[in-house]
Amino acid sequence: MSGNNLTTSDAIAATLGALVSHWTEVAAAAAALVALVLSAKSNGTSRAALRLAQQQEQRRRPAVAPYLRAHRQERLPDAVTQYSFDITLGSQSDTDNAIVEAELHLNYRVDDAAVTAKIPQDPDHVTGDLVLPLKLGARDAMSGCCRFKVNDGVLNGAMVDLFAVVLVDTFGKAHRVEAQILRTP
Amino acid sequence: MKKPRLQTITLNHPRERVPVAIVGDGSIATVGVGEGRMVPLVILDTRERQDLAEFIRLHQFITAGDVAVSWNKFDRNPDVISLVLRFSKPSETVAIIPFDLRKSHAILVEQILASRGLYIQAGEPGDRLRNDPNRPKVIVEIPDLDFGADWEKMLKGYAVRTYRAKGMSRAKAVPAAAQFMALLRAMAAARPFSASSAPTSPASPPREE
Repeated sequence: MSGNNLTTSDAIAATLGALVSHWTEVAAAAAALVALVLSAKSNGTSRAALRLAQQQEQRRRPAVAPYLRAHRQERLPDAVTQYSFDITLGSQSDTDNAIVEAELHLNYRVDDAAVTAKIPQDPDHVTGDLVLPLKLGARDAMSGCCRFKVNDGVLNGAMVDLFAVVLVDTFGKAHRVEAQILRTP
Repeated sequence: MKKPRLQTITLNHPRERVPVAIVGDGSIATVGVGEGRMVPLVILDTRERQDLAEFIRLHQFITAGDVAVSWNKFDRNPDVISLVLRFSKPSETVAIIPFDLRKSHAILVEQILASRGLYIQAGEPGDRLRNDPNRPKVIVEIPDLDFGADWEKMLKGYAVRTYRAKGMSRAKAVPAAAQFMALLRAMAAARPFSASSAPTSPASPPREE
């Protein structure tokens, strides 16, 4: 038994001796191990930072959500129909934006050809209208009415399949709300 | 001269890839449009292109319009150049208008380059401007697209080839072609009246070929 103990002690002593005699290699290995641990930790921190930066960048991207609250049509004199759309615009971005253009798209068919007529917003504004250009701050929301006057000659008797209001922001992005059926008040 | 380059044209419908033939032409000069320049007019065969006819009709009611313009060559035929009009307002459609030098369309191209404009009108074979001058038409602004040098080479090549085919020697065909081009250019640049003159009638008599 003592012989075995002696052997174990000898082995430990021999190992320690070897470690002491090769201390530079041991130190280098220990430093490498510490570096590996630090590097792994740093990698995790970097990934978290990248995720955060990406989320911030995502929030800075222009994003406008239009909501169609109500819509109606009414006949005006001189063979004109006025289409009105009550719209709320919400900015989902941390960047300021503005709406620069509003159009009414009327989708209809002529024989077998699908046509989309693009009607500009009525330039004569009344109280409550969305007046363009409309500044939309970061995380801001605005409400108003978009009115479009359409002469009977435009449709020339064609039946509209779809009404869509398309709003274009300063980044050139188009935002669209659609309505299938418009009621007369 | 610029090296030709490939260009992708986005279409809204496969029918738009078929060139819209010119079935009639003429020119219109008014004091109020283009400072009295003779602006060419082409009557397009829209029997299979109701979308294009509708675009022209719509423009009477919705004056706001938007178009992207380019000159393109679609095949190896040296005598055909196409004007590609990509309309985005008041409706979206693409029109490929081929100008064939063998059909005397050179004067139209010269007039387009001189006046920087082109009237388009919907129609069918047999239609003439004089038969219905009040028919809806749209004026398209054609900006300077650096096409002049290419056109010069194309027109000169066509004129020389034509004179040579008629038996003229090359030595005579080249100056004859230059003379032809100068005459064509002078015709295209003609102005019946300037913006400052005030004719009793706002429009000159339409020219037809």
